[in-house]
Amino acid sequence: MTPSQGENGAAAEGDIAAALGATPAATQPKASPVSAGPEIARAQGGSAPLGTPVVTAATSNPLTAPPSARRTLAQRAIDRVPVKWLGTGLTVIFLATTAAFGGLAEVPKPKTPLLELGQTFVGAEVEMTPVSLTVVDELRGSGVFPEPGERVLSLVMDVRNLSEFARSSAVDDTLGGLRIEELEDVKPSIARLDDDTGSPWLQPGIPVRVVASWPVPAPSYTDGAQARLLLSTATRGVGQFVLYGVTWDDVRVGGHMDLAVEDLGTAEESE
Amino acid sequence: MSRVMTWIATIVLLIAAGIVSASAPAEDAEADPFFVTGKIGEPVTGRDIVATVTDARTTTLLTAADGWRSEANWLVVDLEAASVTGPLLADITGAVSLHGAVFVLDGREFRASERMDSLFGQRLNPGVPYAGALAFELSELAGTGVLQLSLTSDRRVDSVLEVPIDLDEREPADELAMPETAWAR
Repeated sequence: MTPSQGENGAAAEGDIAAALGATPAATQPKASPVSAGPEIARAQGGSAPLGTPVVTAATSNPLTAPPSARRTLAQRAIDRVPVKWLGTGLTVIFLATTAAFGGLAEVPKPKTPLLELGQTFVGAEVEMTPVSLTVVDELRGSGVFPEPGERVLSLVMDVRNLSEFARSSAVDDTLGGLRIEELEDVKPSIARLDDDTGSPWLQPGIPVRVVASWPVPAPSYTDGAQARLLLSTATRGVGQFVLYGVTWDDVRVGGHMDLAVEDLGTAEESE
Repeated sequence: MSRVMTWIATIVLLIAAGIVSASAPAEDAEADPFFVTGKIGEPVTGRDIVATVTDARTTTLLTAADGWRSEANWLVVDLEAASVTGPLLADITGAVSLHGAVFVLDGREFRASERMDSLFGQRLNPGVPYAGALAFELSELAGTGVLQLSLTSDRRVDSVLEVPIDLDEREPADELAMPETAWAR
């Protein structure tokens, strides 16, 4: 055995320390456990001269022995954790998750569908089928009273309430949520086409033809002009403090429809 | 305690817990209306409403005095209605009206029609009932439904009068005119 060279050196020292292990127990019975001898010897590695009795370092200063022993244990434990693999693994998981949800690119907003005349839109359990869009000087029974310089823009629409209970047509979660894009946030007046009942109640499952009307500046809509209708939808919820408390939350635009305006001039009748 | 006793006690407690759990009222039961069920032809009395359904008719063409007409499936319920404790004299604060009128058919709640003059929304007086009718526009004139009457459409913790009406046994009339609201006597 050559004690000084290469990797063998450490082994040799370990062997020596092990060989000397019995010594402190014999000379100093009060010292730290016997095993401390070889532990420290290993920890100190090749720094201790071969000739020096390694055990004396431990035995002569017993106070330092337990912490150094603990550090060794901790270091050993840490050594067992595959830190590099852990880091790599976490990075891979993060990248994979990000990729699975479409990467870091901006999430595309769901497009509001553009419907065509004749198509039916269902929003907040109300079936809506626009029929025509007209502009007229005055429309009695529509609920809109145009001021000088204004005319009445009227949407004729077939409606059916798909809920299991009657609902007012005037509220935002039914037809009160209809908008004309160019008119910003003007609520329509709703009336039945057949008997002019204003803000009619929509009985469950019963189809009805209604007129939704807005006052508009006279020159803004002429024959053939285009107007974009915003059809609203909402999410059904259950109220907490109301019996039969159905609530309609998150009222939003659910569909668009571009309609050509038909000018009825000064027509007095509602159709 | 022996092992057998432990098992018996466990089973007894589990059964008791099951009974309590099964018989507990629903979370919103505290707001339930008080249903008072009656029959056609007899007075049904709630906290502040008393009504007698005198007849129930069906038609496919309903007309009203002002010339209004509608071709649809109509149920016309003739009834007399009064309040029980409401103020006799016109008094805005204490006035009660018939604002809750629903016909429940096949899981759907049809609301009394507001399209013509009727008893719907009529102010009620104690002692002297009004006679008139309620009209319901239905999807079909078949099956058995329940007429529910209350003072307000918000029916929490108040009386709701219930009168079942069988539509199958009624032959739809070719035409019906809405009766006008008048004093019952």
